[in-house]
Amino acid sequence: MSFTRKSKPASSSTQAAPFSTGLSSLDDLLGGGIPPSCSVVYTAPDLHSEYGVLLQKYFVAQGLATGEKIYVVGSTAEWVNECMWTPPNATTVEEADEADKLKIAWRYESMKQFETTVASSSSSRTFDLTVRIPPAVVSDALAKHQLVLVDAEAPARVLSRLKDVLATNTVPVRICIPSLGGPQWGDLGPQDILRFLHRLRALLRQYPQACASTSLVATVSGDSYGNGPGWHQRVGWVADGSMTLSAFSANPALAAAFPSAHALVRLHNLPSPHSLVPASDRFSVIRGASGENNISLKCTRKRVVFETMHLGVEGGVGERRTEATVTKKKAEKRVARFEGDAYDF
Amino acid sequence: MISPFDLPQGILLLVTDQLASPADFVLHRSLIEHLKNAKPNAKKRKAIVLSVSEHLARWKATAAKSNVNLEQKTASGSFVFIDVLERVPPPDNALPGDPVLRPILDAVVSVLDESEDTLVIVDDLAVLEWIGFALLDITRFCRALHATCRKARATLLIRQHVMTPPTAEPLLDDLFRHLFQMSSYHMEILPLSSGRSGAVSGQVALHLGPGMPHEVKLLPRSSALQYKLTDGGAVFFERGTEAGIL
Repeated sequence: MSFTRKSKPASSSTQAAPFSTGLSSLDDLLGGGIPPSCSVVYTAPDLHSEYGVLLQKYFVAQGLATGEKIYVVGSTAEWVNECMWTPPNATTVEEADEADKLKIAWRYESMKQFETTVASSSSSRTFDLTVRIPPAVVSDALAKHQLVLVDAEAPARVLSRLKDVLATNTVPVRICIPSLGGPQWGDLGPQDILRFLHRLRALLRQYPQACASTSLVATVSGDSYGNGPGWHQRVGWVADGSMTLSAFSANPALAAAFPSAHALVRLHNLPSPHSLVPASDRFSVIRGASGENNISLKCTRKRVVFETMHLGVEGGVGERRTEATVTKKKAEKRVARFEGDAYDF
Repeated sequence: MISPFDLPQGILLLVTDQLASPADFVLHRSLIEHLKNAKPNAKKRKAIVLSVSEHLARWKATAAKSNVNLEQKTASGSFVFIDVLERVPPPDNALPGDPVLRPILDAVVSVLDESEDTLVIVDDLAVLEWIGFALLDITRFCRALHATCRKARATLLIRQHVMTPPTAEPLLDDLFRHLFQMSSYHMEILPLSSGRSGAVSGQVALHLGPGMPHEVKLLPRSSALQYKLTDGGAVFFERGTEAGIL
């Protein structure tokens, strides 16, 4: 990672604060979050993973946590109930003091640990994938009309409904479209999808207090969808920001080469609503000083993180590099539990 | 027109770009230079922008960074912004030969004046084709617009997106072929073949269109001029030079 220090993105007085996506590393890639009046599209071509939908759940969870108005198009309340939430007792995690256990050469002792991603910032909550959103929060948000579910019908009708909504609201609004191109939308062709995204962006420019986050379903996310290759570029031209998350599960060679990553992230274009240079080029830490770091997505049991992509350490996949974090006291407790067990052979 | 390329007036300049190297800066730069460099005794300058994707706010913001006040220019009549899709929604049931884009042409004709030095910028023609306008209609519209601009001695600048797979030659679609036949010069904005870089945003190559006398210094792709984007515009430099950047 580059060591040049980058100044934090200062929100200019004329521009409103960007919308956080719920993931601090994704916010960093976008240059602080999704800027108001911008539309970001995620394509995830792998048929058997749903990273695009996962990112939309983070987007909705963040909106519910900050109390912003959210419009979810094409999904039901059950889908919203599957979103992640902050753990009930959010205590700070105690880091195992590995510096004592691992002997390293004296000249490297003052260097900090190799960082592949940004630490979570204060603007986005730390959502935990093992914690589901409390149903009370969702029903409360639905009752207060903070969360509104819009049915996916013909794209033109969805757009006119969104237009009515935006014309009457002056508060910041998040528009989330988790599975554009899915069966609930009917038979959408490439032209319909491009027309919808283009018109959605025009709507956002007209009502700049809102932003939109869209995920294309896997079947319409491949680069050769439509007439020939170039689909990702076309989607990029009709949206402000677009990225492709290609999972490694389809390619075992890649999965073996990058053991700690689960998907390759390709940024096609990034939002720059008021200038020629996207904010991400100047402020993104993960992308590096020259904007050329390879970026991958890792989905662990508790969280999703975007980080720089590196080859695994020599020594193979299975070798542990650090001490196990289980302390001696916990190990004793575990043994004690089994001693009085009825099935003690 | 468009420093440092020194292109003459009254031509059709086709600007092609890719998603990795968008040509927004060329359009903004040509607009700003056209409106800024008005000499006191010369013809009055006017600029018309036909926009499909970009909103007026972005044009205003970028122009403001170079001290050109577009609102003032609109009030004085030297800047006209026409939002194409506002006037002509995408057709659903039109036959291929229907002149759906005719209102836009009429709007341009009503504003064009032979006594003024005009620059007409057409932004994002490819998107019109993608969202459903018939190819035949778009090519006829371009031809009619080109003829109108030639009659009024105006300069026409058309921007076209090119889809390029990373390891092959650019994909040429029919719309590009039609536009290329009409163009006097073809400016290609290319990304670096070695991938993204922080110091260089892309490269610019300039080619001659069919049937045009050779007046301007051309830039083949091998000696393309490189550029780096800044907040208000772009800085051009030869490959491997520019002490401040590399």
